Order: sequence, then C-alpha cells, then structure tokens
Amino acid sequence: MMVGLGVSGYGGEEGLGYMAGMFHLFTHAMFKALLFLTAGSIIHAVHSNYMQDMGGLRKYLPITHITFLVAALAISGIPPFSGFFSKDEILAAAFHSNKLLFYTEYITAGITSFYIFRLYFTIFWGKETRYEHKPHEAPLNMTIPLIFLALASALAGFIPFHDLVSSDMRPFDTNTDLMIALPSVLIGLLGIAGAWILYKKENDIPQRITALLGGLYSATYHKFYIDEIYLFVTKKILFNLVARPIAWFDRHIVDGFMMGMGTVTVKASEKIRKLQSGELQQYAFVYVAGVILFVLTFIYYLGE
Amino acid sequence: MNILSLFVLVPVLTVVGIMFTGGLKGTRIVAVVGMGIQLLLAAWLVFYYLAVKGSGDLNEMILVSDYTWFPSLNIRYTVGVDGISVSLIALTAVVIFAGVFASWGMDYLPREFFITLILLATGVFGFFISLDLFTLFLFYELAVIPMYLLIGIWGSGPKEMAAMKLTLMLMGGSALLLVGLLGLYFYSAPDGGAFTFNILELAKVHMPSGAQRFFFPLTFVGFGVLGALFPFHTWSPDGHASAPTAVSMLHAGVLMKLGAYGCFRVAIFLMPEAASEMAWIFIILTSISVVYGAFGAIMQKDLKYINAYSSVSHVGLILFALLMMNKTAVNGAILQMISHGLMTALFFALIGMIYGRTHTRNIYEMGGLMKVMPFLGVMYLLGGLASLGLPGFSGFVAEMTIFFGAFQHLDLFHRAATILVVSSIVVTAVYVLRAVGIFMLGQIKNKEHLKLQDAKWHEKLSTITLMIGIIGIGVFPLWLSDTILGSLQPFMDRLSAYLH
Amino acid sequence: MTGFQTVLLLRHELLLILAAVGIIIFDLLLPPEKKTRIIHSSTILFGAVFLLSLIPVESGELFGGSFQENRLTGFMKDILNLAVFIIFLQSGGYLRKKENAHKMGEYFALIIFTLTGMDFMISSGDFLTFFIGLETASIPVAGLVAYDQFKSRSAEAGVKLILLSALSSGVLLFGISMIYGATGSIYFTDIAPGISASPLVILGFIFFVSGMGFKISLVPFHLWTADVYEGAPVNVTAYLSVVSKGAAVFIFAIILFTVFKNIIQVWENVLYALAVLTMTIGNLFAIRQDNIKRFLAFSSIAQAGFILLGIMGTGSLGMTTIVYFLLIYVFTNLAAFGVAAAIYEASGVETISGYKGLYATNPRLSLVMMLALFSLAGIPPVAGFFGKFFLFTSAGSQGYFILILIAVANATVSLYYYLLVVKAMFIDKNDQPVSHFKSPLTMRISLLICSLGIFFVGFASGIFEYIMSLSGMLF
Repeated sequence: MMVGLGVSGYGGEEGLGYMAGMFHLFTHAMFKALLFLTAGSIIHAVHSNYMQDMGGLRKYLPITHITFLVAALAISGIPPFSGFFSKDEILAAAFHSNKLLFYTEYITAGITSFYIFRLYFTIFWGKETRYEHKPHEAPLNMTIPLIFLALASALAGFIPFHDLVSSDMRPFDTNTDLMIALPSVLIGLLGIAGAWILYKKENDIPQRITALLGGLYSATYHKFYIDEIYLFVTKKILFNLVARPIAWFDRHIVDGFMMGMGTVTVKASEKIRKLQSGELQQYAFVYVAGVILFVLTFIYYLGE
Repeated sequence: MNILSLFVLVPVLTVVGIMFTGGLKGTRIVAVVGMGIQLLLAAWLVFYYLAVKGSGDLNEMILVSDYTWFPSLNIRYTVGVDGISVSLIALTAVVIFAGVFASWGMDYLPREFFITLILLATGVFGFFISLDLFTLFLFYELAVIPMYLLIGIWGSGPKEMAAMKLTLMLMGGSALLLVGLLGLYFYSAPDGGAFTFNILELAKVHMPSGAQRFFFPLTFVGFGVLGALFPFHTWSPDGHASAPTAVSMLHAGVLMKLGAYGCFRVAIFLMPEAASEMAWIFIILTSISVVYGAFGAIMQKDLKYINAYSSVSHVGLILFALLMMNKTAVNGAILQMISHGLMTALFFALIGMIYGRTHTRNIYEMGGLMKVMPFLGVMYLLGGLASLGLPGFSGFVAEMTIFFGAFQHLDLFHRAATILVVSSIVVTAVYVLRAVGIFMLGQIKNKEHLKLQDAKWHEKLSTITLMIGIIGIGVFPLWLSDTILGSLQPFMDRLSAYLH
Repeated sequence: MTGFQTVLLLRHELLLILAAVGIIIFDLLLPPEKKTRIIHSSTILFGAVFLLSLIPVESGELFGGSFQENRLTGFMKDILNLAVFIIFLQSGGYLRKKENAHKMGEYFALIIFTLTGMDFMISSGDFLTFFIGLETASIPVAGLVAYDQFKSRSAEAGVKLILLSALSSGVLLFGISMIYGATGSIYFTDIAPGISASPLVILGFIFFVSGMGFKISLVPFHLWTADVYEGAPVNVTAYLSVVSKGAAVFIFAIILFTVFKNIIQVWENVLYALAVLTMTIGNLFAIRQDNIKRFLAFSSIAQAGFILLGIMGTGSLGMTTIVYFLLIYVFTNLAAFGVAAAIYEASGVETISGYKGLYATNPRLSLVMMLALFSLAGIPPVAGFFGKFFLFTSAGSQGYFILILIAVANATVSLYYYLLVVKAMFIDKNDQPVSHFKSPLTMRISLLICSLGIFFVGFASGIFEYIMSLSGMLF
C-alpha cells in the first residue's frame, strides 16, 4: 500500500513526483526491512507467528521494542523519521496535481499509522500472555542489523537527496510545506491515538466496534484479503507465471541457442569427417573438381 | 618510468615472485604483499587524482605518458587516467585484495592458482590505464583467457562445460570487438596521415556515419557480451556458479565492468552518432537484461545462480544508463559499476565461505544459518540490503542517480523503459529477501550445520574491506560522484557536438 | 659482378649444399657403431650454416635475372634455416631408434637438399627457376615422409604425397605455360606488364594458385595434408607444416605482389574465396580430431587461411605481416610439434585423449604446449596474438571487414579445439597419465628457444619494424 503511495507520485509534477516516489520507495524499503527483521526477532523470541500469542513484550525485548517503534513512527510519517520526508514530498507532488489523489493519500496514511500501531501496542503492550519459556532478546547478531536499520530509518530523511540525484539539473525545490506537512503529521498522530485507545490496554472496545461495524471489520480483519491477494500475486503470478517461464526460457531458448551453435558446429565437424576417406582417387578428384570450379566461377565473374 | 605502468608491473612482478616460491603459505604471502602494494598504489592514485584536480588541473587525463611501440603502424603504449578509470582501478585493487584473502585456503595447485588469478588482475589493471586501443584490446583478452583455467581447474560442478562456454562466448565477443577496433583505426585519418589507436586522438576525428553504423554494433556487442547483455548473458550463470570464489568475485565484480567501461569509453564515446541512432535497440535489450535477470534470480535455488542472475540485472542497468547518454545517467552508471563491483564481490566471497562450510549452495538445504554463523549472516544480509538499494549503501546512490538521468528523457519510449527497469527494484527485493528468509532465518535444517564455525580472521578481513567500500560510498557519495562527474565533461561535449 | 659477390648472394644455397654433401661424406666415413655421432655433428654444422648465412648482403641478381636475392628474401631464408635448426634439435630422440641407425645421414641430407630447393624457389626470378626449386623441394620430401619404412602408414603417406604432388605440379606447370602463352615470357619482370584480366590469364592464374594451394594446403587442394601429416614421423610433419608451407607462402606472396600486380582485383577475389573455405573447413575438420598430428595438420590448414588475409593486404604491410606471422608460426608450431614428438618418443602416445593429466606428471612440457596452443589461437600476451592481429590489420587496410569478421569467428572456433587440448592436459583426470620422463637435452634446448620466441617476438616490436623496413624497400 505504501508502495502504492509511492507509485502514485508518478502523476505529480514532472520530475518532482517521480523523485518523491523513488525517494519513498527507498525509505520504504528501509523501514519495511526493519519491520521484517523485528518480526523475525519477535518470532524468534515467542516461537509463534500469531499475535494472540504475544503481548507485553516490551520488558523482554527492549531493543526489538525500540527499533520496532522507530520503524512504526517512520512508516506513519512522524517527523523527524525518514518516512516523514519522503511521504511529505509525495503529498506535495500530489497536492499540485491531483486533489483527489492527495486526499486519498491523507486517509490511507492515517490508516497506515493506525494498523502499524495496532500491531505495536498489541505486541509490546496489551495483555501479558503467559509464556511457556520466558522470552529473551535475540542474540547480538540479530540485534545489530536492527539497530543499524533503525538508525538508518531515523536519519535517512536528512540525506541530501536532491543534490545526489540531480547532479546537473536544478535541484528540486522541496521545502517542507507546512500546510501539507502539518495535516499529514496530525493524521498520522490520529491513527496512532486510535490504536492507543483501542489496543494499549486489553479492553472490550474493539469487540464493541466489531459488533457495530460487522462485515467491514471482518473484511479489514483479513486486511481486505490483501494478504491473500499478495500471496496470490507473488506465488501464483510472479513465481509461477513470470519467473518460472523466464527461467525456462533462459535455460532452453536463449542458452539453448548459444549451446546449439556449439553443438551444430561439432555435429557438422562429425558429419564432414567422413568426406576425408583416405582414398587417393577421391583426393585427386576433389582437387581437379576444385580447380575446374574455381576456373569456371572466376572466368565468368572476373573476365574482362 | 610512468607511475601508472606500476599497476601492470607490480602484478607481473608478483607473478614472477610466486613462480619462485612454493607451497600454499609462501605463495599466498607473496600474493598478499603484491596485491597489498597494489591497493596502496590505488589509494595513492585516488588521493593524487583528487589533489591534482583540486589544484585546478583541467586536463582530460592525468599522468599521461606515451611510448611508441610499433612505429610503422603507429601503435603506441599510451597510458593515462581520468576520474572514471581511477575509481575503477581502486575498485579492482579492493576486490583483488579481498579475493586473495577469500582464496586463503586454496590447497590444490596453489601456486598456479595465484599466478593465473593475478595474471587476470594484470589484464584488468592494464585495461583501465590504457588509452591506446591496441593495448586496451591486448589487456582485455589477457583478462578473459585465464578464466578458462581458473574455472576449469579450480571450479566446481559442471566446470569444464561452464569454463568452455564462458571463454568461447567472451572471446567470440572480443572477436567482434576486434573488427570494431580495426574499423576505428582505419577511419582515424580521413585527411590522410597516420592511422591511430589512441582514444584521445580518435575522439577528435569524425568517423563517417555509414562506418559508424557498421562498427558501432560490433563494438558495443563485443564489449556487451562481457557486460552480460541479453541474449549474450548465458555464460554468466554457469560460469559464475562453477568458478572458485575469488574468481567469481573478480569476474562479476570487476571483469563485467570492463565490458561496460568499454561500451562507454570506446563504443559510445567514439561513435556517438551511431550510438544515439541505435540506442533504442540496445535500450530494449538492456531493459530486458535488467528485468529478466531479476526474474531469473527469483527461481534459482543455488546461491551463486541467484547472484549471477542478479549481476546480469545490475550490470544490465549500467549499460541501460550508459545508453541514456546524459550526464546524470552516465554518472549513475559509473557509480553503479563501483557499487555493484563491491557488492557482488562481497556476495560471492560470502557464498564461497558459506559453501566452504556447508558444502552446499542450495538454499533449501540450509536454514537458520544466522544462528550458527552470525558474522557471515549479518554480512550477507547487509549485502542483500545494499543490493536492493537501501539508503546508506552504495547501491541506493547509484540506482537513484541512474533513474534520475533516465527520467530526463521525456518521450514515451524512454519513459516506458525506465519505468520497466525501476520495477526491477521490487523484484530485487523479492529475490534477496526470499533467499535470506530461506537459508539464513528459520530453523536449522541440517543438524550437521550446528557444528559450523563463523568467519576466520582472513575471511573477516576480506568481507570487511568490501563492506567499508559499500557503506563508504553510501554515506559519502558526493566524494566519488564528483570524481566521476569532472571526467564526464569531454564525453558530454563530444555527444552534444555530434548530435546537434 | 665478381665471383665473391656471387658467392655472397648465393650464400644460403651454397652453404646448404656444402653442408648436405659434407654430411653424406661424413656418414660414409663413419663406422656403423658410431653412426649416432652424425646427429650432433649435423646439428652443429647446420647451426654454423645458419649463423654464417645471417651476414647481411645487399640485393643483387644472378644468371641474367633468374636468381633474385635481396634483404627480404635473405631474411625469409634465415627464418627457414632457423626452423630447420630447431627441427634438427628435436630429431635426436627419434633418429636414435635402432631401425634408423643406417639412414640417419639421409635424413639430414634430404632435409637440407629440399631446403636448398626452397631457397632457390624463393629467390627465383623466372618461372623456370621457380619450378625447379619447387620440385627439388617436393620430391625428396616424399622420401622423408616414408622414412619409417616399417610402418605402412608412413609408406602410404609417402606414396600419396608423391602422386598428388605430381598432379599438382602438372596443374601448376599447365598454368605457367598458359601465362607464358599470354605474355610470351617466363621472366617475372617481363610478364608483369603483360598481365591483364583476360580469360587465358585467369585460367593460368587459377591453375597456378591450385598448384601453390597444394603446397600451402588451401581448401579444396588440401586433402593430402591430414593423411601425410599423420603418417610421417613427427619431425618430418613439423618440417612439412612449417618449412615447406612457409617457403611456399613466401614465394606465393612475392609472385602475387610482383607478377600479378596488374590483376589485384582478380586474385583478391580468388583469395577471398580460398581464405573463407580454408579457415572454415580446416577448423571444422580440426574439431573432432584425436590424433595430435592430424589435429595439428588441420589446425595448420586453418592457419593458412589466416595467412591469406595477410596477403590480401598487399604491399609492404601485407608482406611484413605474413613474414612476421610465419616467424612466429615457426616458434609456435615447432613448440607444439616438439612436445608431441617428445611425448611420442617417451611413451608412444600421440592422441589428445592420451594427454589427459599430463600436467601432473610433466608440467613443463604441458606449459610449453599450452603456450604454443595459445599462440596458435592468438591469445595475448604471447606472440601469436600479435601475428594474427597484424594479419587482420593487413586485410583491414584494404577494407575487407566482412572477411575479418568471418576470420575472427573462425578464430573463436579454433580457440575451442585448442582449449580442448589444454583441457586434456590441465583439467581432465587420468588414472594412467603419461609417466614422468626427461627428454633429451637438445629437445629441451629447442623447446626453450621456441618458448622464448613465443614470449618475446610479439613484444619486441623491433623485429616487426625490421621486417617492415626490409619489405618497404621492395614494395
């Protein structure tokens, strides 16, 4: 979804939207990778993939806790984390071109911060599950990348991007526009606040809302089935329908052609070997035939 | 004695030194000393270059020196460097230095191995300092042919087939190249006078466009084969997979850049008209390379195959950027050469180290290795993150610059190609994370793997050297990109002079 | 012209005749049990001849223009002398075999006589001298090919060579007579102005090319090559493929450049076709050969195709590139044949599959062989790279870029089969490789000379420039 936000940047003001989209794509890669790794760390600690098995982990996994928080803040676009800068630029670009897109992005940004902080609060706060084994922080080799990425997520926004990427053009004018940035941050905070209320402490508000909204919640519970769609897209389409045929094509058609050239040469060599019979008469015949052929050809073509 | 010639002389002397030593210990010490000197020389060269440029030197090439070799044919030994070659020389020095450490335990015919490996490096260094197409071509072939022995003798898997395929395809490419170079030579004196192979001289000559149309594709494809241009990339997966670690490192890390560098410095620079006319063909091919390499990597089970296809994709991106023919994109292309050189060398080094422990490269036969060998695991992960273009690493800077340059073309064709190529980043993320997820994280699949040890000191040295480069460029990109940009001006001038 | 000047101009030929006669007499005087002495003494004597002939002599002509000597022809003869000297160094091991004891003298004498014939041929100023030289150079070779009298293959090869050689000589002579008919002269200087692209001249020219094509083994006149090379003793094969072929190439180029210079258009077209055929067919046949001599035979056919590219450059550049290439070819091919001979004498192995695992047991021989093969394939930094590059440059100077394209494609194919031999020696494993052996001293010296040549002739641009200056005087 956030990548969708990034891609929409294409619609924006020529280079600006594009640049912003790219910028976001990269910062997004960074904090998504961080989330991915923290998830790994949590699973490592709890030996489970399910959120209902987690809760109150902040005491047990301090490093994971802080780094996850950084990633969550970055993805929600809270300053000064990297997501703020890149998202801000996308919004700015969208604002100048397409208002509808702009507002949609505002709303989705709010939802993003809501869902990510729902995760955060449920896992690290919330009710404390009784664990069979006491969860413990991951070893150093897992936490170092976490810390590294967290630092990067926190600071990447300050990379002087426009100088880097537009070395011979005029730098993009990308001053943070308060009128755009402020609502964006507020919406992000709103999402966080919503998650706080609903999930910080174990309570029955979510259930009541569920009852109220019925189907909509169950659809969102399944993330609008986006995970299923995602799996379908990657596994079925990307892997089976794109990557596998490409791998096959590469092995059998492209490489087959290259190898085929070699094989044909060797085969040809094998075939013509028999022409060299070892018989004197044949040698003499070929010789004389060659002479005659040459004479005929060249007298015909080159004679004056 | 010209200081640049030391870059050829030191490896040659190292080779001679190795000839007179025996055993693994002796040879590798000589090799380390020789390549260490080479690394210091390269470091000196970088600082010297910056100092010279800082003092306001406006020459296109510095440290130029010129000796007549074959006077009757006007073949000369001309050397000189600009910012681009300086950075590539530095890259080569780093990679070969790391490569020597990566082959620390080469116990089968160690003397022959190091001799052949360093001969290959000699070719690469010679190639980057050459300004005369004859010597350039000589060093180019010198860099390619040791691959046959290196893969054939010290490789693994279907090594004979892989070695033969790689050598023949690359030499086939260089055969095309030879014709291209001869064409440049014989069209170098339109007003009479001596023909020349000198790049700087050739740059002053306007080759007839008809001749350009004939010789440009030969030259571009000739170099492009080494840059794994689709559909001439099939040597790459097999070759890289079978090659011993240090050779994969050097080959993917540096040798493939020879192809890209040649495409830039010879094909596009000297035949700009045909280049811009035919760019569309090669843009299509390179776009295919980029996307296709990335998708090709997804389905691979063998770590080396994954990295080989990823190299096809990344080097394809370099060629793609060169064909955009504007300053930003070309700058990005050269950044990408350096960045990918370090990254892929790191990957191959790590894969070699992991393979040396687990004796398998099949990702499905491994799992949870992060717990057993945290150092190697973390390094692999960082390399992977660099590969998918995470900020803070070199890949990000390079790719961003390339996409910006590419995006300066406003027409539909270029834009469509660019968007297609950009999408490969997503695919890159898929194959990098997929591999990491399968073999690094999760449960340990093979109980035997629990006994494995983490990296030894020489392995750490080898990988850390490369990692410093990757992060260094990621954090201080301007330093490198300024070095390159200063040298791109003649290229841009020539392009604009002939295209308008 | 004084007698001394005459002697000087004829120094190669006279010294060779003296050496040959001396060897025959020495052979007669030696008692049977001491016959082996003849090997070393002949080699040393020939070395002296080689050194003495190096005296630089200004150009001149003898016998009313029938004999033309200049610095370039002198240099060509020196190359041939050098090659024969290396071959003599390599022959010791073979000749020492018991069945050869009574005919060692003949071996040396016959080779030197044929060499004299070649020298006359190179210096010929008219078609008669040329033809006599050619025949003197051909007929004794058949005797050498059949030298292994107890091997049927050797005898068969001798017969094949003499019969086909007679056929080709007939065609050649026919061609010469037509050219005589068209121009009314046999002297090169008189013929040249009268040559035009008339059907009769073209007919005569193609007959002439077919005759020379036989000696140089150009396709389709090459069919004798493989059988004869395989049947003959290794050293004789080396002689055929380097010296015999080299001499024929030299005179072929000289005649094309001087006599047929009026119809360059015609002969370039003929050579174009021959070059394409020769390279392609030679390569295709070479791929699947297992016998090393047959393999080298086809590889030398393919190499002849490359030489034609040099000839097509015409002028001093063309001449220089082919002389330079042949100088490199001497070192290269003799290194390959030398290793093949050494291995054959020590173990009787003469197949490529028999070479498997050779590096483990005989590393130095393998390295020399690899150098030679790389040089044949034209891989830098060895000399073959320079030789081949300049041949292509020569063709490029006349704008034959498509032909170069065909040639480089063929060079890539040739790399494949050269690498197959490298693969056998270095990569393939073998349970019973050729066991370690020490070859005779002279053989090791010869291989050292060849290796040095392979290494340095390319880098030492002085050699190329020297040849350039020599041929610059003439063309």
